[in-house]
Amino acid sequence: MPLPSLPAPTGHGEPDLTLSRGPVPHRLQAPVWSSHFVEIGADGAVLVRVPDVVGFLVRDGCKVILDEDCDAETSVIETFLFSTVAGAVLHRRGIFPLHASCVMVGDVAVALAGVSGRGKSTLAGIMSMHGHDVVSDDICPVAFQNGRAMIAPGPCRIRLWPDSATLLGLSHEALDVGRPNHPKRVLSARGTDGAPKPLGAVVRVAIDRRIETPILHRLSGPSAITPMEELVYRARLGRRLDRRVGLFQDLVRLAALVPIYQLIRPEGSFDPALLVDLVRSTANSAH
Amino acid sequence: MADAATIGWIISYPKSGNTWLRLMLLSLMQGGAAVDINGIGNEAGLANHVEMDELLVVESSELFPNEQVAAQPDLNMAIAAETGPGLKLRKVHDRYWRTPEGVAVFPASASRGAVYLVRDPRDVAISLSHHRGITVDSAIAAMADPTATLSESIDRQRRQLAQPLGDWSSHVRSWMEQLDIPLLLLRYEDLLADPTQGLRSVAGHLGIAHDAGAAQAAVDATRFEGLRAQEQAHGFGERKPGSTAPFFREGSAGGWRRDLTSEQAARILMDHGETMRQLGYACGANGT
Repeated sequence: MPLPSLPAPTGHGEPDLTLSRGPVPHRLQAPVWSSHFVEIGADGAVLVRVPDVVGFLVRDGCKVILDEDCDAETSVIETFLFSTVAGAVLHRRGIFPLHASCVMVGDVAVALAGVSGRGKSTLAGIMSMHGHDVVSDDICPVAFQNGRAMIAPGPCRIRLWPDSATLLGLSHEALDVGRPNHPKRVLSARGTDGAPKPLGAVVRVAIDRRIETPILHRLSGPSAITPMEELVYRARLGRRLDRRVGLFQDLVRLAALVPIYQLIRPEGSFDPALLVDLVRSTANSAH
Repeated sequence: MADAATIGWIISYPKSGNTWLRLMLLSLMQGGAAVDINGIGNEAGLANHVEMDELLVVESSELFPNEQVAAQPDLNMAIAAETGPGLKLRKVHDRYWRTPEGVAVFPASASRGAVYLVRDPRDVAISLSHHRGITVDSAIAAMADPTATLSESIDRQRRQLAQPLGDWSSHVRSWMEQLDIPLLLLRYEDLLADPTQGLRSVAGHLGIAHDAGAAQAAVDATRFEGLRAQEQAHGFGERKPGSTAPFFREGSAGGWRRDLTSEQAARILMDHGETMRQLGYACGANGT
């Protein structure tokens, strides 16, 4: 199955995750938890289903089965594969999924983190337009190795609403289609190679209608890592997949290794270049 | 009462005193303590995309509107279950509605009760025009639009989920006519005239234990002058960019007599007269 959004792998070993088409149940039998879109089985299997669009079954954190009856376009499959399904795989494998879009600043990665709607992708797009390579959009898998936090590069395709595209000076039509007829479009940004990148800073993005100029400040202590949802992709899913303690431990480890900032931006119009300077400054001070 | 019945819906058409009533209730639930107008947020907010993404585990911004709608009853059940038993207040601007499959978006099994705060639509029109930075005539037209919807995601990410309003009359009627959730109808003007009495009736309806002293303290902690002073000092996150007045603008009833032209008042009467009369908004031949 072609997945054009992924960077080319750098290793030559056996794959540790397989994606194949196969039978996927409509619902799981006796799930231990369920929502309109996701069910968790007693055996830890995760069913992700967008009704009448696409269905995936994640088994053992290493096997993803795409519903053989799904006739959705590749771009639609990728939309949900690289979001909810990726989150389920990472939580199931015990890998920390930072809820962030990530760009390179110098030789380190800077993660732009926050819950949905904060403008992570828009900011990553702005950074990309200012010459920064994109490491990943929305989810950053973090590995803790030799006293460093390393980010595994993911799809460098940034998903943008029309107003964000306009902010970036891009015409809506120049962007790729994600879900056909959906107003969100996809910017194919310049990405990195597939090798893990050292994380230099985490920037939590926030919005405040009351301000007119962006503000950056460093967070410390418990306020740096709470609420957990600001940093962990779909934290509740992780907690239900036995990661309650592991996620907290990883957050503490992250905060010990990497400076965590908060970038508060106004809601209305503002100069994107101001944000670029502020994000760059976090990587510089990390050195 | 089912275990999941934890939500108290605080419902109103926009600009009808919803924020004031929720601040009073939050103060009352803390024994009449002072409240921070910028601290209420998700504690009693409108259903939003972050909640859908986090509670239902999905990328809601990648969904089409009909796919979001189909998930909204589930979302409200998840909100009710999220923090266990105990009353949760939720602000609502939606009319009472069902998904195309016929499922109630506000599930009775998750609902402890509903309070509908209604305000003279002639005052609403003035307040709405300031809030949105539009003319009074545009506000009056919006209040007569049966397809009116808040926070539709057309070209940009919205914080809140789309909320069908309909026109002003059908909004209040939709809640008065539903039989699934016990409803207390409260007039903004009555709450203004006797806030302690109004607050106590709401607290009684939602099962909030309190005494007279706490109710009085909650009223004192949320007086209009104090809320306006907080907004002047710190701003208010719910004020729309482009508004032409503070969010806490006037806090009074009957301003329409001063601010509406007789044609505008007559137009509102023509659009909503039947419902206005039913709610006791005197509608004599001269529109007063």
